[in-house]
Amino acid sequence: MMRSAKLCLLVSGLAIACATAQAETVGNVGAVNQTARGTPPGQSVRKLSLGVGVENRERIETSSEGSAQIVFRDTSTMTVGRNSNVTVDHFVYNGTPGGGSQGVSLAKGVLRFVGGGVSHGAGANVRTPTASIGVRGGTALFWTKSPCGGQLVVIQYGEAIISNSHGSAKLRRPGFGVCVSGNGDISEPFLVPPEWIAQMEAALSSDATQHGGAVNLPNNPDANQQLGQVRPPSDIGNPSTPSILDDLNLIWTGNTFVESQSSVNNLPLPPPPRNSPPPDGGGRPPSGAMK
Amino acid sequence: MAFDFFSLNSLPRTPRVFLSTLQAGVVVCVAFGAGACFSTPVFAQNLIVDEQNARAEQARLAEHIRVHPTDYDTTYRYVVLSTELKDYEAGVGALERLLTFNPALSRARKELGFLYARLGAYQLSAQHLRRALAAGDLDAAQVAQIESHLPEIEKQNEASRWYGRFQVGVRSQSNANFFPSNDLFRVGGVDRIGVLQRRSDFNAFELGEVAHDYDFQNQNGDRFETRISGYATQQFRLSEYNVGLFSISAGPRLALAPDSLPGVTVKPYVTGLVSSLGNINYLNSGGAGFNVNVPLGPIFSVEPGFEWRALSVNTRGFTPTVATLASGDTLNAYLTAYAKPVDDVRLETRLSYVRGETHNSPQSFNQIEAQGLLRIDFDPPVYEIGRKWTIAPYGRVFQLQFDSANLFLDPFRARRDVGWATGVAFEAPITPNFGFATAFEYSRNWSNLPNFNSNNFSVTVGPVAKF
Repeated sequence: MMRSAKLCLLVSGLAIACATAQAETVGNVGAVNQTARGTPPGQSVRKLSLGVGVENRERIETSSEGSAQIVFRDTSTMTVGRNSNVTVDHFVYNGTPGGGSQGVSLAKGVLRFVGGGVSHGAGANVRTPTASIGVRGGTALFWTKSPCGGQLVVIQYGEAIISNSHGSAKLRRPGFGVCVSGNGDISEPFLVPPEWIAQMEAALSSDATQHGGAVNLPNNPDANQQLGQVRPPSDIGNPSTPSILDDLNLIWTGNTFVESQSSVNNLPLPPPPRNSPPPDGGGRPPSGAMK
Repeated sequence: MAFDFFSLNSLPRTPRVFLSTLQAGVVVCVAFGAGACFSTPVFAQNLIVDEQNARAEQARLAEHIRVHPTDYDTTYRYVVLSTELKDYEAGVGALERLLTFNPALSRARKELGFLYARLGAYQLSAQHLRRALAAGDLDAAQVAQIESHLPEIEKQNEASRWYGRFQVGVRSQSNANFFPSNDLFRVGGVDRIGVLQRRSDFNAFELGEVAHDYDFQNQNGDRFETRISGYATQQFRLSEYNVGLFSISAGPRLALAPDSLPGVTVKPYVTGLVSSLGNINYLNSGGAGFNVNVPLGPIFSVEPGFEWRALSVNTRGFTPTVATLASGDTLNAYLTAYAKPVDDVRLETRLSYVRGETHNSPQSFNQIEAQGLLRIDFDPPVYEIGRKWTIAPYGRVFQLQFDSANLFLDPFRARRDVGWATGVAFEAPITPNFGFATAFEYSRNWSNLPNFNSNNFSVTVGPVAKF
């Protein structure tokens, strides 16, 4: 009887160990404001903490004060905002750009996705209650109960294809978004008001008293020292900045005018026929330019 | 840290090697021309190897900070390296994390704002930059950088966008009247010594450009572009060569096929020019054209185009038919190419073919021309200057071939010129709106008719204002 119990315990232990080994860590918690909880598949709810691994099919929930950033193995990040519920549906990455697949489900709340190796090629997929969004690139914001009256999807870089049984739409210009109504209608793309963007950002950020789980905080002097003093590129705010060649061409055009007219003015007159008066005007040297 | 472009010792080894290679490439470009720069196999090979090393280092750092998210020093290195590799999303994710740890980390917020601008997310960029500025704890250098760029970034969010650049100054010319180098003129097939002489001169000049974009605010980024430019000179001595020039072009820039040809745009436009010479109307022109902008990956883009113009030229004097310019029509086929291999280096080249059909057939011509400019931005020596300075070596070369001989000059020889110019332009912004610019240029024109053999050395200098 005793031997059977020991054998049983051993088998159970091995089974648990095997299950744990098979639960692949697909990313880690990069920052977390409490309360944020994770529920790995087949396991009980746990409080998320800095650096802890996140598994496939793990559900992440945040309270009205909570938020969490998950850093995936392909360097993509997913920030889960306040009052949100997100599940990592699947993540596979083989280490090459585009090599793998990535899917998350947003049941409610606010989500920021910043792409990495997977989304740069094949694209990542975000499911909301009424639509499926393929993100290629790319950086996008999602909000289930937004001021647009439905689910708001905003692209910030790359492109996103929003589709459901009612149709599809493509976002390709940063700052543009679509609204997916409760019955699944997808709006035409529109430029999202900056106030809505600011509201989403607020839901995704720490407030003044929160520190994302860090004890020692990063500070400006260290950041200044480490980030250096390199200035941004000159054309960062104006990609169609005027060309220096345009200026030069303007000057060269002026030069051509002068050269053209001076070739007339400089020309010595042919010797006048005998007993005829010199022609008026033509070839008259400019004032003060005589040798 | 002054002149950071040349001082890389503060960087980690791999990006330092990477950037050193780029610098070497830039030197090759400057010394031997753009063609040598991009065709040098060793340079290209080193670039690839060093980028691979840098990417391997980036992956190593990413793996480390994924499990040690509060290792800030490594996170900063990761941000710097990712930015150098143009993997801006990686930098965004890391900076967003730092701000979750400390929402008052205004330096990280400033960098995040600039990274969003690089991605084209100007709304988010402006929000972060304004917050960083409002925090009030950035040092003067960081504040200057934001103040220098934030107005332009905010402008990108508006439907109606104005840009302007104005320069006033003084220009000296060693040969302001384009007098032949050897004083020789061919008249009626006979070489004669000129009665005038080469004249140097100074002028005061005004150069201005105003650009307006009306953004239709659709997903394609379609917009209506208006470009106005003006140039005027007041010669100190040779007032008959005072130039006044005003040109305008306007037309929509439209996405051609955003889904199948992303980024490809077409711009049909109308254009016009009025000018004066010696304070009397000289050349007026009007026409239309189109160009197509085609991005070829993240570094290169090309812009082929075609333009027709009708010209009316008021050449004064006894022998207007010897002038280079004459009334008629011009057809211009051109190809502009841009390359931006790294943030601070931009190569711009233009090739063009112009056919001039003039009312007086001996003045009809064919011209081919190549222009190139290598723009190199670098950090100024003073931290508190927020915008980079620019040095830009440039050159042009052209061949001008007239259809037939001009009987007045040489009844047996049609004029053929080969001209070139080389120079260097330097621009030094001091405040967000004011700066200083200068340029040195030497030009030479060879012709089979001695009348048109000339050279000229010019220097321009003056303050610049922009908005």
